[in-house]
Amino acid sequence: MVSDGSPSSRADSFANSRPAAEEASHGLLAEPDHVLAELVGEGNRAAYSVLVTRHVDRHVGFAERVLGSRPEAEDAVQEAFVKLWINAHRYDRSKAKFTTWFYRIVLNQCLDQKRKKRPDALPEGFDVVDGRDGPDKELQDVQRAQRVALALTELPDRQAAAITLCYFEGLTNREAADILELNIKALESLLTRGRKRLAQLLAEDAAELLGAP
Amino acid sequence: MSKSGMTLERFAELVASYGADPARWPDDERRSGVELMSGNPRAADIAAGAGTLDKLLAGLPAPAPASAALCDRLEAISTLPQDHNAPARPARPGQLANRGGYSIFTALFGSGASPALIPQAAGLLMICLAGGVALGLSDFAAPRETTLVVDPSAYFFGDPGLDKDLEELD
Repeated sequence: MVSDGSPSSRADSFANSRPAAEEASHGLLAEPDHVLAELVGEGNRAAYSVLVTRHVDRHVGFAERVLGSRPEAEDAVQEAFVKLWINAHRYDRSKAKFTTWFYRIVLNQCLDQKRKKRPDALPEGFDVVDGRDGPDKELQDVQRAQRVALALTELPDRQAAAITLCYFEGLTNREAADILELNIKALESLLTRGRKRLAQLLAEDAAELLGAP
Repeated sequence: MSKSGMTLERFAELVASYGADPARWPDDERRSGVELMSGNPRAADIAAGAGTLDKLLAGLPAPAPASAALCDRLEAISTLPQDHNAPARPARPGQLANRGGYSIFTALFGSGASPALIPQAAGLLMICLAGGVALGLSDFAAPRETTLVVDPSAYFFGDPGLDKDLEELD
């Protein structure tokens, strides 16, 4: 089955390969995450499919921000979903929201991968070229975005995770703190240090942006 | 300080952590922060200073959706038996090499064996190894005197190749 990766084609992929599961999935679409997670803990494949479709894009994006590499991000998310499939019976809704629990799994997987990564490996997909003098504004914006993404991966892991959760994932400070298993004060400290470091790394881009008409 | 009680110092901390966009500020401090920012020029300056980094961060494009290949692999995960003990997963090329000890363990004891048994299995293997070494050092396996008897006919009659060589010499 060839699909283009969009949410609808993914749903089709799951559906066409497992018509019975698809039918079951439709009945589960309205269920909240914690109910689905409990069903996955009982081996319910349709519930697993719904959770995958609902969360895969968000977590691949999150992992990509933290790791700076799409293939590594997809590996991390795959491992996280394996852990979900195997450990869903351990999920306890009284302790954490499903999203908090699963973000923790993905984040820990990302941090594990980062530790194992060769120190000299450059983030894939970020062929950073200094195009500040280039005439094409669109190209300059793309290159600036690459430098920002690269700078994000150069932050200490937990600073990068904190910024990603608060700035790109749109989570509240309480949710981000829960995922990182910190109190609010410690989260704010991570964010402040992360922003300060990013400002240093991106000083030239910031100056250029300030000078832009 | 704003009417609702936020100090300039706290405002500066807030902006240093969450940036200048009030949408990212904690719910319980947003109103007082906005009030201070709109009524205090120093607070407005602090926010303006943080706005540049916010703009740079906002320039990052939204990540692309997950690839079809990943979705296929994720789908495959749910076709595996759900074993609460042994992690079974569809591997990407090159990943098997990273499984290390667990692969050896499963090769010896089967994929259904629990990883929790690894310490016991390692202990058992160590005992067997120690037993083998002890046996090797004992009298039971002491080297015996041997006599090497060389029977040339065995070579000549047992090796047609050599006969062939001799025929060729003749």
